[in-house]
Amino acid sequence: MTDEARLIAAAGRGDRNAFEKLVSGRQERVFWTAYQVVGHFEDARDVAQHVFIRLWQVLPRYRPGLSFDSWLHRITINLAIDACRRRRARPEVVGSEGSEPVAEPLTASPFQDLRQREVQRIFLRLARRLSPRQRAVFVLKEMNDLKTTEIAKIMKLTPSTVRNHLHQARKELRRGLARDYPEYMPKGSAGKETP
Amino acid sequence: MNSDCRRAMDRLELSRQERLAPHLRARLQDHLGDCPACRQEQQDTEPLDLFAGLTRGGLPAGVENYILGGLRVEEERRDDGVWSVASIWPALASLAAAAALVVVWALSGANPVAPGTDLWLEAHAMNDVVATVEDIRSPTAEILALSLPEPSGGRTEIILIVDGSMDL
Repeated sequence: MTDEARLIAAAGRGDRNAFEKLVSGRQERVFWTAYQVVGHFEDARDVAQHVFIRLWQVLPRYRPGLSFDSWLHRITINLAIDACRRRRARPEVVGSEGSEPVAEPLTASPFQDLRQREVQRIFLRLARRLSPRQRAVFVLKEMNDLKTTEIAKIMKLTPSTVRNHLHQARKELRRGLARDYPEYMPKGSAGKETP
Repeated sequence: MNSDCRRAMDRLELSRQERLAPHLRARLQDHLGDCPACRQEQQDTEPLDLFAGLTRGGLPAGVENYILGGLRVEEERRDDGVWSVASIWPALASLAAAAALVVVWALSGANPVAPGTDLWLEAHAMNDVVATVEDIRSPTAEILALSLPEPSGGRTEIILIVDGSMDL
């Protein structure tokens, strides 16, 4: 039994210390993944909190088959998509994105931080045009570097559907970049497959 | 876009991930050579590295405490045995009312039926899902949010989500 499996088993029996060790170092990924899907700081914070509460509640039911990290991704993405839909259902907050506090992932250097902040704002702005699922697929693939087959398992979609969402998301984001932020358009990346 | 194009687009991503068999990769390249629309699509759907670092960073101030605070409350609630049938009864009752409302709404024809639409009903109380009803075939807008009064004076929020998925 691996250390992780031991921690999962102990946490599933209600051992709070084991649970804290298990989630240590995973809170960041959960928060930022939720944030990129939801696009709002407070909603992402709520999603992250709810992810770990849900995890605590359902851990006794965890069965290996999906890796623990994939399972955590599934909970995160499901709750984040749900949060997106709730937000759209609340008329009072529709269109209020501009006044939301923007969270910014920081790097080791101030110069890079500045660029990262700008890139973060660009993504939040452009990604509003994506559906929650397109956005989730894009975040899992392009930001978390997961394979499409893994994303398909996490989101319970076919791999082909995942690839389709990914294409649509990239297309929309590229279109937005070209239109509003041409200086950020990747150079020399097109045409790799062209014979 | 014909079926060859759709197949080519599906294989494009596999090819980018180097998971396409050599003979299929050759076919894809032949197709791209002959089809300007797919060549354009290929360029439009190239991976975007620009956003790659956005899920790697420390937690913003206060978020860790917020997460841990929620866990503490959950633990205390579990210890106190708050989740009795009586405590979730208002939510269950509200869920039943919401389900009835949807059925009536569907039968009245107020909202045209989209055949095969999956409707997912959840009842929320204290920020947790306490009851769900799945696979109600029904017409509705994509989302319907209801806030229903509880006997205790509080309110239960019912979110109806079309094609939702919360299967954990």
